[in-house]
Amino acid sequence: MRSILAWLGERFQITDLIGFAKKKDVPIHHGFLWYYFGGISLFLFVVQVFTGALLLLYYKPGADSAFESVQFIITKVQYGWLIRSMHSWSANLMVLSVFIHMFSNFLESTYRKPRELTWLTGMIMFFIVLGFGFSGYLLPWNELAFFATKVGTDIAGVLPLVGKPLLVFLRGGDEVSGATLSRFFGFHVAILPGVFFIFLMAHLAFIQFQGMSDPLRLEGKIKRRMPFFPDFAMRDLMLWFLVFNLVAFLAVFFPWELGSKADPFSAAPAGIKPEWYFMFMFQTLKFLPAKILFFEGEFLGIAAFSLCGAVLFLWPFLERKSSLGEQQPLAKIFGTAAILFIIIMTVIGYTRG
Amino acid sequence: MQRRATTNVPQGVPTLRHRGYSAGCRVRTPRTTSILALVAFFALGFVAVSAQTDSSSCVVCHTQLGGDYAAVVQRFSNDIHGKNGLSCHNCHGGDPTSDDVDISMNKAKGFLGAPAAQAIPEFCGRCHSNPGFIQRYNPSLPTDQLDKYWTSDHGRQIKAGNTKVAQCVSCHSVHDIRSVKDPLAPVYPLNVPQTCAHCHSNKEIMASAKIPTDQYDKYKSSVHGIALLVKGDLGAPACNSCHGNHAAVPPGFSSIGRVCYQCHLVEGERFTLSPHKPAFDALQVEECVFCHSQHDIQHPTDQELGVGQDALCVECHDKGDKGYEAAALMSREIDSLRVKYETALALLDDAERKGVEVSEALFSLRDVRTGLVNARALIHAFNPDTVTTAVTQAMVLANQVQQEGVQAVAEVKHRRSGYYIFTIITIVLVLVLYAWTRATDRGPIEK
Repeated sequence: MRSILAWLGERFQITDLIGFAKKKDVPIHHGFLWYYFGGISLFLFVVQVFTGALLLLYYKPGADSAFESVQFIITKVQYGWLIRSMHSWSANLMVLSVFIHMFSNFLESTYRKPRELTWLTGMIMFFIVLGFGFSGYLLPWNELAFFATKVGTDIAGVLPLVGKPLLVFLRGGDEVSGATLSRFFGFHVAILPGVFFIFLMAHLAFIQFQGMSDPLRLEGKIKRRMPFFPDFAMRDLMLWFLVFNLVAFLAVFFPWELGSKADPFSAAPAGIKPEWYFMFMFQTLKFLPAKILFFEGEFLGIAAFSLCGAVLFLWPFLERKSSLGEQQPLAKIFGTAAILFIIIMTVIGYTRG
Repeated sequence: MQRRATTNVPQGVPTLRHRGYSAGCRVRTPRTTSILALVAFFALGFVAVSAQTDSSSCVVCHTQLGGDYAAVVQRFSNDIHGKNGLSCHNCHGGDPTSDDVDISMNKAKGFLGAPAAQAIPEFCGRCHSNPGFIQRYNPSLPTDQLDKYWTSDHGRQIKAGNTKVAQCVSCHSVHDIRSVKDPLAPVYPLNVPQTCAHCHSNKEIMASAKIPTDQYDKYKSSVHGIALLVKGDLGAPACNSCHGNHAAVPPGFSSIGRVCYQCHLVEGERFTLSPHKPAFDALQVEECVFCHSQHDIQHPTDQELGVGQDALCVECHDKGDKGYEAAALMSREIDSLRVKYETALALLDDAERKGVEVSEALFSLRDVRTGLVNARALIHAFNPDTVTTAVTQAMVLANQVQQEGVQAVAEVKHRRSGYYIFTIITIVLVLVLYAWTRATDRGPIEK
């Protein structure tokens, strides 16, 4: 290893690079576990890229070919079932990991000055991950995904002024069709990964430059820190192996079902549900009355969620106390309420049918 | 013009005065009263029959009379005749333009009143046997119902003076007659058994006819009854599918096979050419009914074939005769295909539950099932060679599908074994990394 580094060192200034990598360390405290979720999210994204690239070798977008090609992948292609199932499971675990990563940072106020841009890039990636989920769900062109996409894009269409153009933009027409599939495929494999990669690089660079943030409640009190390279990175690697094993376990014992091919002319099957990470929004909209004062209930629901998203995105600029080193209970109250709301609504969504 | 002051209403038809009504429908009143009555007639009539489009005096007066009189009007709002623009007078005659019962219900105006039971077939037949008339409303509606009816047991009985037997309104209802396509019609396929049972399950009515009354109970539990009444399969036979409707007669032994063959084509063709056909004819045995029964036909089982305890063949064939051997052979063939089918299905189900995609194999298995159904139908040729040929053909695909099932189950084991090996590798790697970390950890930096 040393000889390789020496060989490279003779040709490039890698000592500077190594020094830059060694610069980062991880604060040791009882909330240490939460630091792993950034790495787990990154690892699962890498799994997504590799399995997605393999699926691309056989996947054929199109209303007449998408379902058949996925069926071909999981029945005829050697280990195609494994790759497809791992792609689906790791996508879901990635969303879960991203949620945990985002809320843990929110609750610990790590977004505070000088890390506002780290928060912003993270939030943009969070929204892109949800976009990945929404666009990828349709790609097998099965019945459940078709109608879930129809409902999802219908909800977007409720927005005033931009609703209709947004709906047409997402669907590539008035209805969910092969055109929708084509553009969702484009979003999923080209546009979103490209944009995501830029923000990911920025996010990682910001962390590398600024180092890991200490929780606000422990600011100035943490005496012990762990070097990121190699100590924390090795622990990360161990965890990645275990997460990879979990993905394999789920793929082998609970392979992702394909269902039946979408038929735009058939009636929507009973119990159409979105992916679990959209369930809390879906369930909330179901609870809202048709009319609230002069507004459509659904519109108000979407407006409220949009407002929450915007507040969350701009939170470092709205909440200034933590940047001044003052304790800010509002973030904890807001964050805990949001987590409880998401969990309760998701449970209700799955149990009430 | 001086109106006729009379109460000349056909016997049996209630008059308005019988009910104490004089306003609204004029019965011998002076002209002034008549005008007032006319105003009231329109006012009350408008309120009472606002939902009605028919403003004939029959409708107005019957509505005012209330009770059963009004109920007829109410029922008629659902009647297919009413929906086609026909009104009371089109069947019952009379003058619907007059509010005077002596005129509107005058025989001289063609008023017929309510026909007696034995007159009803001809009463309906005036239009329903008239192709020119029927064509104006429904060109696809047959006009041979009356002719058929006279050939039926019902028609023959009524001609002989038995007024208890079914005529048109017994089945189609009266004043709320609905299209056969209307699910609320008593002659809608799902309702036919109940409609027939109304009389045929009534011991009192059937006593004079000396026919059993258990057909409906038997039918309800039969394979046909369950298909129609429980599963709602409109293609399943109801009473009229076998007995005919307007020309309803019990099919005799000579034609019962032809009744069944309308649906069971393959079985019919094979049986007709089989050695059983002349034998059954010679013995005057009802061909299908002899093995399968009639109103309480159950889903046939493979056990009914062969020489086992539940086999029907052994009722006629004794050990050692040719039929006995043929039955045993056909039973073995059918059983072998069924077992193969069930084995393949169980394998594929198991693999599918464990996450292996087997939709193509399951699709192929449908063809095996079709082959099994076909082989069962071919039993009716009573020729073991025919059954063997069909079973052999289906068995080729069945073997292939079973092999796919075996492979799918093996695939499950392969996947799980692979995972266990991967888990061991993961544990080893994690342990190695852990050991390496312990060895190289520089410990926390104190800041």
